[in-house]
Amino acid sequence: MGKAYLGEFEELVLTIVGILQEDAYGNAIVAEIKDKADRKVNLSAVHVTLYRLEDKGYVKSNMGGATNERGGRRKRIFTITNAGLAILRSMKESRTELWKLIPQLKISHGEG
Amino acid sequence: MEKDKHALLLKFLRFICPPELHEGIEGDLIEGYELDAHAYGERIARRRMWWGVIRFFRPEIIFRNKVRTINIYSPMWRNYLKVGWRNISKNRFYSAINVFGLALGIGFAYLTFLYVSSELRFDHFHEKADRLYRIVEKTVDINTGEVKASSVVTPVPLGTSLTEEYPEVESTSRFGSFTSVVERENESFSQSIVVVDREFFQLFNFNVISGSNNLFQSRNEVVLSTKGANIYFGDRDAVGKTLDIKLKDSIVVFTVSAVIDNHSDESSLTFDVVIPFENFETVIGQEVYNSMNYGVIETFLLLKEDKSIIQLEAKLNEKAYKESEERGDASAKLHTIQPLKDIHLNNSYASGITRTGNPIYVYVLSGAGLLILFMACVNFVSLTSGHSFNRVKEVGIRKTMGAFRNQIRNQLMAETFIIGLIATSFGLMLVYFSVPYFNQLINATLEFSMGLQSFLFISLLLVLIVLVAGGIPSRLLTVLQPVQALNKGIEDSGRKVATKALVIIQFTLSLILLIGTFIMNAQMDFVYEKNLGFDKERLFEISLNNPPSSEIAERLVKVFKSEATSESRIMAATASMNDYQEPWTKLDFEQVEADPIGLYFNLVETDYLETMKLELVAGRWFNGSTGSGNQIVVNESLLKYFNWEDYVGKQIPGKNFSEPHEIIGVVKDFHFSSLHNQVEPLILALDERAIINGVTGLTTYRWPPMFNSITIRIAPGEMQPALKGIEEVWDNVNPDAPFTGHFVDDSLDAQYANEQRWKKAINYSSVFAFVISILGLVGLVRLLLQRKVKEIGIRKVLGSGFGHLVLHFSRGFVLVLVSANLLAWPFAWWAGQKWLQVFTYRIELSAMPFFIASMIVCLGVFSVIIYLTWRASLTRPVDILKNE
Repeated sequence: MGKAYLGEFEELVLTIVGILQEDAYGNAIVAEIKDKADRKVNLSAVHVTLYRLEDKGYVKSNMGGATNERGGRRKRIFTITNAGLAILRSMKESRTELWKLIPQLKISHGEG
Repeated sequence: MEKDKHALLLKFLRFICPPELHEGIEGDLIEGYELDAHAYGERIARRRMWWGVIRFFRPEIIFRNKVRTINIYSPMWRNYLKVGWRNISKNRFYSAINVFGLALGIGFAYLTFLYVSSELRFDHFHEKADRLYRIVEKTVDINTGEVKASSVVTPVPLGTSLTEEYPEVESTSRFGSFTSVVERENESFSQSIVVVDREFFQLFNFNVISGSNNLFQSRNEVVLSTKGANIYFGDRDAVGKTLDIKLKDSIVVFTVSAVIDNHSDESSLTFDVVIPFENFETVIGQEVYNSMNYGVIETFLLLKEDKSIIQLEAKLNEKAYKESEERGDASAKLHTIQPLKDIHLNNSYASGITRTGNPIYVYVLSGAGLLILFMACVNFVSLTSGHSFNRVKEVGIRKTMGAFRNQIRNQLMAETFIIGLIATSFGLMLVYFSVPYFNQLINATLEFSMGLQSFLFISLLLVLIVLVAGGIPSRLLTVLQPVQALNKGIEDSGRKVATKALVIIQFTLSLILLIGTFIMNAQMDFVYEKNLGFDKERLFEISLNNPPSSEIAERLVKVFKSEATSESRIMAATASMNDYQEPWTKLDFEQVEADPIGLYFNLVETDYLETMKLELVAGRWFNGSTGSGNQIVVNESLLKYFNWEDYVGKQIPGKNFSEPHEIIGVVKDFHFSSLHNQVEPLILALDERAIINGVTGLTTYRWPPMFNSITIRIAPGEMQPALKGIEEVWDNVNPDAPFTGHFVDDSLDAQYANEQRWKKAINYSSVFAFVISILGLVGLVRLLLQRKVKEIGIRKVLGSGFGHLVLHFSRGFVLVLVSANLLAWPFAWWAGQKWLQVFTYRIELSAMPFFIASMIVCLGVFSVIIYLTWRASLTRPVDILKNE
């Protein structure tokens, strides 16, 4: 995996950003994680992780257009970068490699 | 709408979030709130929102891009510093005021730091300091637990019994002191001599400079401090030489075994000549030496490692309780064990043999230091934010050019940092040159040194100043919108109020300090002028240097007095046991049905009344006829103490009296101790046997009772020849003994030397504070007038005279002055009252100090305004108005 390393939660958030495409902002990610992974996460944790990913260069952000719902505040939309996609892919691949090494059939004599 | 609902919450969020992230986060939170409100209702939504905001209070958010900016934009910082420097040199006037004020503030704060840290380090140089303790004896009522008396001087046998009976105690040393005569090559010196056990040198780290390390093997060894060695032997090596020390009635030869460092500027235990403790028996007599009833020395103990002092204390006290219960006493003598490190700054016990400091002065000086620093910062803030009016254009342009808010803030911080750095170097220079004067002023031995601690302190101070003094104005300046900043017509009223509030605070503080200074001075003058009940002028006391026996003392006095009749400059002479050098003897009497009483005592001669010029209020004075052996004279306080209407036929109520005594007269109260204390009940007698059989305990510097001092009233005329005359008489009478004497009013002054010194220190600091606040005012008024040059021009064109202008511009300051006075008075009154309570004899707080302080401040303020207005009005209206 080299130097690049993603934590479990970072990987999850990055994946969700990839899924949501143009609509990846704080609340949407929280909702998506709840929906897809059935996990309750705090908004602040998601934000902090997003900023960290941005520092690492895996996502980039820009301000979306203003809407009326959010008291007029614009959304900060995150999009996954090529580097982000690459690391997701390499993590997935290396995991598959490892997965293949586990013997898939386990026979336990005791139970039978 | 949402803005109103969550105003406070969002404000907090704005405060913790970096500006570039803020909008996105806030939007998400609000959106979440709206969704929640829809799904679960307002209350739950609100609660979730609160929680959500609080969760953002985490370091990743708060410090994001704050710490790193410095690395990323370092070229920018170079620019800030450059532009900052240009700004500073452009506005030399304000920069000078700021630098000067801050330099004073930093210098004063640093001096305070040096002083306070040296006070806190006292006695810390002993390796075992953490395990060293002093025993304090407390007399406690068995039934109520009330503390009747506490004393740091303890009986001689206590120390030895502690080592023997309590396994927690590793070792003890007794520490006593007496004044005697030391002779060296036919020259005699009056010298305070300290007696200690051999263990003393193991307990405490007083390093041997030259001589043996194995001290006090024989009882005729003497150890000198470097100062002591210098007095007796000059530059020569003292070790192995001998000194003749007078112990009671014999002269004993002591051999110097070592010269040691007594750490005189950081040790509570002070000494110059030390001899083994056994010799103390000769000095104070066998009875006192072996009795548990007389407190005459201090006892120090070294606790074993891993032992608890609380347990030892409990053991000691349990035993004391048991013993007094067995005896059926109403009170028990308990022991409190006081850490050595606590001695210097704890003034809850009357001082014993070791010297103590006064924590009040640590507080006072730290307070004054902080105050002056604070005022300098206030100056800086109000000047910079006032001055920033002139810079709104710069800020406006920077903003339109795309500067971020924090870049402008950094710019201002950089300027503050430069000014702070210059001020710090000036401040340190100031300290470097003023340390000797400061030492003299407060009687300390500080040194200017830049250790790690000092360096940290100064850096911390600088950071604090930059953050506070630079942060506030930049905050005020950067909230301006560019349009507002460029449009000079709009004035930020909030900032005006803030500036005004700062000025008010500053003048309030100045006023408080000034009023305090006046109250303090008035009280000290009062103490000086107070009628003492005797005439302290031209009164001279000669010490008899511990005569060996009362017969010898009496003979000496008699011969001196007969010789003195031939000396016309001696008006009257008398002898007494106690004089004005040391506290007087206090005798304890056990009563039958009440607590023991302590009454002061002095042994006098028949001509004491006349020489001291005391006043007799009832009865008669001793007439010297035979049969007066059981007669005593008391003072008014004693009558008051026992609630006696009349003295006739009364007895001092002690249960041990075996023979009656006769009170023959009452003298008007006169002061024989410091004015801090009330005049205590006093017994005067020609012969101590009148009351000695009732005495059950005593606290004294002089024992047994005998004449220790001759008091002389000097006739009017020049002092110097009179003193010479007295010395000649003394040398005729007693050629071998040193002539040591002092004027009574000098020793009284010495009691107040501390207060006098601190009075000066406070005077100086209040002057400093006042100067700083006036400096700030000069800057502010000048700013105000600069902004109003045009107004001045127009007013002049329209026919306004100088008087009108002054009136117009001072109007705004009237309110400032009135508010400052209203704020300062109650606080100054309260603080003054509190301080005065220390004195038994004190002035009533009058309106005078308040009035004078207000006048000084008002005068200062208005003369500044008048002068600056006058200067501003000198320019011709044309010059001002055509400049557009």
